Amino acid sequence: MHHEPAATQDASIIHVNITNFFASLAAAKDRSLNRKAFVIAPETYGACAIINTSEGARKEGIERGMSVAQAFKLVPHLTVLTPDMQQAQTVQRELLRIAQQYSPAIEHDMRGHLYLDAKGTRRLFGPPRDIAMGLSSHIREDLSITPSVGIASNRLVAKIATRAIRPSAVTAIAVGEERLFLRSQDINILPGLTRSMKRVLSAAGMRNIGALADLDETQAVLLLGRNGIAVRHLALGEDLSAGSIHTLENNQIETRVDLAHPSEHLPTIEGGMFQILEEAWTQLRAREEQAERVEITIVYADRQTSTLSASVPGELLYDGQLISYGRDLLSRALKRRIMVSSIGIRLSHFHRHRKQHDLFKFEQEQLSERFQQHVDTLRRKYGNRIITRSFALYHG
Amino acid sequence: MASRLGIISAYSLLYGVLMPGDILEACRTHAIDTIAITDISGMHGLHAFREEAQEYGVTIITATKFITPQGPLWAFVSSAQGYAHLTHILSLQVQGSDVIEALSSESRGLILASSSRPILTRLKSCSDELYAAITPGNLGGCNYGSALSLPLVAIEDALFIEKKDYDTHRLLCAIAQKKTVGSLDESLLASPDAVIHSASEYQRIFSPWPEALEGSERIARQCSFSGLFSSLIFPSYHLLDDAHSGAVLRERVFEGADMRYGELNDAIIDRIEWELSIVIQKGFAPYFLIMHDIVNMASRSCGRGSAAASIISYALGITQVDPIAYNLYFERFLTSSREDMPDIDVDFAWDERDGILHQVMDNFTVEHCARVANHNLFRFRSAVRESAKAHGLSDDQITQVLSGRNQLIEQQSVWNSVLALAQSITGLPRSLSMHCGGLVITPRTVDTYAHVIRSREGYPLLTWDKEGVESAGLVKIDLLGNRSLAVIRDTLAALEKEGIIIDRDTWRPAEDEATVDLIARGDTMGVFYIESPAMRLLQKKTGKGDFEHIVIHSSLIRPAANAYIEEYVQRVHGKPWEPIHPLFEQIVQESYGIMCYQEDVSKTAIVLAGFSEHDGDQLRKVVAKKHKHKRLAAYERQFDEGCRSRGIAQDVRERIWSMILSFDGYSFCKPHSASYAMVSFQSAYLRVHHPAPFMASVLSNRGGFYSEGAYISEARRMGLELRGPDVNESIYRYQGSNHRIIVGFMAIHDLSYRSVQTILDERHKGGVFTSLDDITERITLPHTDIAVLASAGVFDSIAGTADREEQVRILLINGKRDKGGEPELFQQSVQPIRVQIRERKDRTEELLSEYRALGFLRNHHILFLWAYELSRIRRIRGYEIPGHEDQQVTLAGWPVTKRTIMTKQKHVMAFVSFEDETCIYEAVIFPQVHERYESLIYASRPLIVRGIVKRCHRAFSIEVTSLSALA
Repeated sequence: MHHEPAATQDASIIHVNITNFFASLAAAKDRSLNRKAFVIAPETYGACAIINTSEGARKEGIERGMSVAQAFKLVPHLTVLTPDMQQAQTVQRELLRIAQQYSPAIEHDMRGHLYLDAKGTRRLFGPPRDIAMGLSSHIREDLSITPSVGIASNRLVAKIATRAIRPSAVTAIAVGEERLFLRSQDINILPGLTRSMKRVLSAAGMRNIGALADLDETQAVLLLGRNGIAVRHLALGEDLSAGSIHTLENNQIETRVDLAHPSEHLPTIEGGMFQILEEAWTQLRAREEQAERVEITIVYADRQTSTLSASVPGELLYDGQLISYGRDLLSRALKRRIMVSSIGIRLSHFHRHRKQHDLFKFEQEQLSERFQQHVDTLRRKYGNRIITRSFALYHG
Repeated sequence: MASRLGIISAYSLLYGVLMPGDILEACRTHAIDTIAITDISGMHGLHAFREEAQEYGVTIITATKFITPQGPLWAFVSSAQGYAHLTHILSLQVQGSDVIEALSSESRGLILASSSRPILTRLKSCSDELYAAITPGNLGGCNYGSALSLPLVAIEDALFIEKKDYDTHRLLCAIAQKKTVGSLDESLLASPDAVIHSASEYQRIFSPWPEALEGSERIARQCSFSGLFSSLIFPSYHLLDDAHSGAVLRERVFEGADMRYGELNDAIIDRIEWELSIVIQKGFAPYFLIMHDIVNMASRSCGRGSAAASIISYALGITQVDPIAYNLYFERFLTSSREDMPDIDVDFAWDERDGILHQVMDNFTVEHCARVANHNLFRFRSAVRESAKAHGLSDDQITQVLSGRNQLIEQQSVWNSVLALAQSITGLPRSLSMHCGGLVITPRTVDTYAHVIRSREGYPLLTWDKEGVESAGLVKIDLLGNRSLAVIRDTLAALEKEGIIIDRDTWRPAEDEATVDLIARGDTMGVFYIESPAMRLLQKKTGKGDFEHIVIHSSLIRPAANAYIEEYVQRVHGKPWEPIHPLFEQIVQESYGIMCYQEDVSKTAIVLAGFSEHDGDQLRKVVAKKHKHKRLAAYERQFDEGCRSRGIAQDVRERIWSMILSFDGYSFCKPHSASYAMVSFQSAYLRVHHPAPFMASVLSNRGGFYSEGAYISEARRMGLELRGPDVNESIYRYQGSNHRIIVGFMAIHDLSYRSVQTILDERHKGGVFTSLDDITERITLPHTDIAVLASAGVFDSIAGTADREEQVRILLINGKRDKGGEPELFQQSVQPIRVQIRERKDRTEELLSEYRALGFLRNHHILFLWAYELSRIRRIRGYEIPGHEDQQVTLAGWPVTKRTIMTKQKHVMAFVSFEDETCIYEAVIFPQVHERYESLIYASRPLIVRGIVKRCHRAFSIEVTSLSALA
C-alpha cells in the first residue's frame, strides 16, 4: 500500500513501527516461521494473553489479547513463542542507533516504536519522505526487518498511518489531509479505544473512524461515556499528547555481565552483580561524578527481563560500600524464580562529585580512599577485571 | 524394647522426606520395635503409620515436635487425656496461641522434652514429665539436664535414611519457600547428618549418657498404650441414650414405611425388624436419626452408596429406592460382624448443598463439626514441575519438556538433577485440601479428637484424610452437590405453577412405558447420569430401558470395563454364555455373567478363593485405589492360592482376576447404581412428559455433560419452540411450558446481573416495555450491557424496523444516563438523534454478533452461519445415517464432545459426537485417521466428515475416513 502525498512540506513527524514487534523479531531470526501460524505470548500454554500474532495465525482467526488456550482450540498445532527480550533490547538499541543518524529528536519505547522529528534536517537528508525511505531501507538492511513508516503532522496521525499500512510500507499524510485520511480507516486502529468502547461501537455499527468523527461532543459522550470527547478528538486527528520530541540524552554509564551459564545460585548471581557495580563505579570515579539513578536489568534464562529503577545514595563511593547496596538492589530486582543469564546496570542523572577537602579525615577513611585510588589505577592500566573484591573473603 | 523417639516423616509437609514404608523398613533393618513419629506441629500421617506399622509389628507412639522461637519441644502422648490436650493445643497453635504457655498451664498425659534451656526452665515447675533432650546434632541438653535436675532423654531427631535424602529435603524447602535451591538459607535446613542410625551407631552416639537411652526407653514404655481410636465417635441424638434413640428410630421408620408402602406386609416388617435389631444393637440409631434430620432440611435428596440397600434409609427418606422391590442386600451396607461405621452419602441439589452444610454446623455448633481433608500427593508431573521451578527453570521450558516437545537437549545436567529429585518427591504429600463433601460431627469439641485447622474457605478442617478419619473412629457423612436434583426440583416447581402435581410418594417413573422407551432409544440428553455419548450408545445398542438394565449400565460404564461392554451387549441380544465357573454363576447371573458391581469382587473372592468377609471387602477397596501395587499383589497371591486349593483351573483364575481388575478407578455397588438409576428415571420421565420445563431447568442449572448450545439444539430437535431472550418475556432463568422455552437473560454472556434486575424490577413495576423510547424513558443501563443485550436480540420485539445496530444507537443516544456520569449535564439539551451509518452489516455479521452474545443462535442451528458453503457440498443429513449402512457418506458436523483413548499399541484414537441441523451422531476416529487429522479434530469449527456408516444392533456410528474444514 502506498499513499502518494499531495504536499508533505510541513509534515515532519515520522513514526517507525515494527509491526508485531516480537513476532517480526522471531521471524527475522528464524525464517522458517514465515511459513507457519505462530504467536508470541508470555507463556506457551494456558490463559495468558497473546501479545503478537503472525499473518498465518491471524488468518486462522487468532487475535491479539486472546488466550493461548483459546488459540490452541482454533489451531491445535499452533507454534507459541515467548518474547525474546534480549533480542528486543538489542534490536531496540540498533533502531535507536540508526534513527540517531537521521535526527537528534527521537522518542522511543521498547516495543518497536520510534518517533523522529525531521524538522530542520532537510538540508542534510532531504524532505521527510526521503528520510522515511532511507530509514526504512537502512533498518531492512541492518536488521532484516521491514518496518512500516508513517509521516504526518503529529504523532497520532503518523501512528494511525503506520497501523493502516501494516505490516510494512511507507506513507505520508499531507498537512490538512489528516481528517480525510482518517475517515475511511477501520475504527479499531484508533489509539485510545478501550475494549468496551470497541464493543459498543461495533454493536452500534460504527466501523470507520469517520463515523466517530461525525458525532458531536454530546453524542460522543452519550455513546462512549466520559472519555467520549477525548476519543472523538482522536478521531479528528488531534494529538492530545502534543509536545515536541526532545533530543535524546546520551549521558549514562552502562555495564553488563553475562554469566558463564544461566544460574539460580544466589552467590554466583551476586558475584556478577558486584562485578558490574565495581566497573560502573570505577567509571564514575574516573569522571569525578556521582549518579542519582540506577537501573538494574535482570535477563533470565527464558529471555524475559525484569527491571528495577532506584536512587543512588550520595555517600556511595568505594567498592567496599557497594556490597550491601548491591545485595539489596539484587534482592529487589530478582522478581522471578528463574535462572539468570545476565545482569546489567545503567547509571544516569549525573552531577559533579564535590570532594570534601577535609583536613581531619579519620585514618580508616583515608586508607579506604587511597586503597580505592590504587585499585582504580590498576584497573585503568590492566583492565577492569584485573582486580576485584573477593566474594569469599567478604564472607570470611 | 528397641525404640527411637523423634522421627520426622513426609507428613511434615514440604519438609520431611520419608513415607511410612521407608521408616518402617528402616525399623526392620535396625531392629527397632517402637518409634515416635514427631512431625512438626501436626499428626497428619498418624493413621497411615498405624495402619502400615501393623504389618511390620512396630508400635507407633503418638507425638509431635513443636518448633518455637526458643527451640524445639517434643510432646509424647501417654494417655487419652494427654492426646485430647495435644490435639487441642495443635489446633490452637494454628490460631496463633503460644504453645509453651498452653503446656505450662496443662500438660497432664503428655511427656515433654526439649533441648532448649529457656523452655526447660519455663516448664520445669509445671510439668511432672519433663526431660532434657539430647540429639545426635545437639548434645547441649545434658548440661541443662544436670543444671535443672531433669532426667535426660535421647531423641533421634532424624528425617533421613541416608545423607543423600538431604537433597530431597532441600528441594522440598525450596518449594515451600518458593525459592530456588541455590538461594535457600541452608542454615535453616536440617543437617544432612539427621539420619536414622543403625543400632550400634545409635548406642555409640549416646553411650556417654546411658541415662538418656534409659529415658528414651522409659518414655516408649509409658506411651505404648492402646485405647486411642478404639471406638466409634458420633454424637448422641438430642442427648438421648441408646435405648431411647432406638425407640425414636423405630417409631420414625414405621411411620416412614407406612408412607412409602401403604400397608406393610410381613416381608417388609421382617426386613425392618431385622435391620433395626442390627442398627440398634450396634448403637447406630443416632446416626440414622441425624441423617434423617439432615435430609429433611433439603427440598430433595438422593442417598447413595451402600446405604440404599437399607429399608431403614428408604423409610426415613434418606434414600429413594425400595430395597425389597429391587432386590438390594442389606449386608452390603451393614452386618452384625462389621466393625466399621456404615457409610451414608447423600446428594443434595447443587445450589442447596452449602446451605445445608451450614445449617448442620449451626445445629451442632461449629466447634463440634469439621470437614475432612484430602492429602494431596506429588504426582510425577507436578513433581517435575516443582522440582524444575526450584532449579530456576521457567514454566515454559517445563511445559515443553513435559509435553515431549523438548528432548532436554538444553541444560541436560540440570534436567538430570531435576528429574532425579522429582522422582524422589513423587508420592510424598504436598498439601491439604478439603474433601468435597465429608463432614464429621463429634460429641465433644472436635479439637479434642483430632488436629483441626481452617480451610481456605473458612471451614474447620481435620488434618486427616477420609481413611485417617475412618481409622480414628470418627464417623464421616458425605453431603454432596448434584445438579440433576436441582433440575428435577425446578421442573416439579414449574409444573406445580401450572397446576400439575407429581406426588413424590406415589411417583413410579421406572414403571412408565414412555420413559422406558425413551431410555431404550438413548434419547437421554439432559437425563441424569445416562446422557453421555457412551451411555446413550449402550442404551441404543442394547435397546434396554428398564430399571434393572439401567442399574447394570450405570455400573458397567466405567473406565476399566470397556473390554466387557461389547460382550455384555451381545449377551443381552441372546448370545449364549456359560459361567466361567459354576460357583461364579450365582454372583453374576443377573448381569449376564459379567462382574458389574463392587460387591461382586468381594463375593467372588469369598466364594472362589475362600477370602474372609473382611479380606473380600478390603480387596474391593484396594482394587479401586491409586497406589495399590504392593497390597494388590498380596491379594492376587491370596486369590490365586485360594482358587488353586479349591481346584479352580489357572485360565479360569486368570480370567476372573482380570475381571476383578476392571474395577480399577471407580466403580459402583448395586445400591448406589440403583439410587442413581432412580434419579435417571425421574429426570427421564420429566423429559418425556414435560419436555419444555425439563429442558428449561437443565439449561437454568447450567446443564450437565454438554454445552448450553448442544442442549438448545436438542430442545429444537425435541420439537420445542425457542423464544427470546426478550425484554418483555425473559426472566433471569430459562422458562419452559407448553412446548415452548423462553431463553433467560442468564444465557447472555458478559451481561451484568444488575442490569437484569433493573429490567425485571421496572417491568414488574411499570408493565411491559412498548418501544425503545419507552426503555430509555424508564431504565438506565450501562453502555456495554446495552450493546450485548441488543446483539442478543433482546429488543427485537419492540424495535419496530430498527435493526440491532440502530437499536444500540437509539438506546445510547437517547437513553437516561447513570447519575454519576457527566452525560446527565446534556440531558435537557439533547434531542433524539439517528446516526447515519454508511455501511450496514449483512445478515451473517448480525448472526455472528448474536452467536458471540449467546453462544448459540436464536432461530437457527450454528451451521446456518456456513449455509452458503454447505449449499455447495453434497452431503447427507444426520437423520439419514441409518439408511446408509456400510456406505461411504459425507456429513457436516459441529463437534459437541470429544473423548480420546489410548489403544493397546499406545496409539491415540477418538470418539467425537458431531451435530448437524438434524441430530447428534457419533464418530469413531481410528489412530491412522486421528494422526492425520488431529489438528482439525480438536478445534471448535464446523467440519466435513467423511466416513463409512457402521451399525451395532440399533446404534449407528460413522467410522471416519477423512475430515476437512468447512470454511
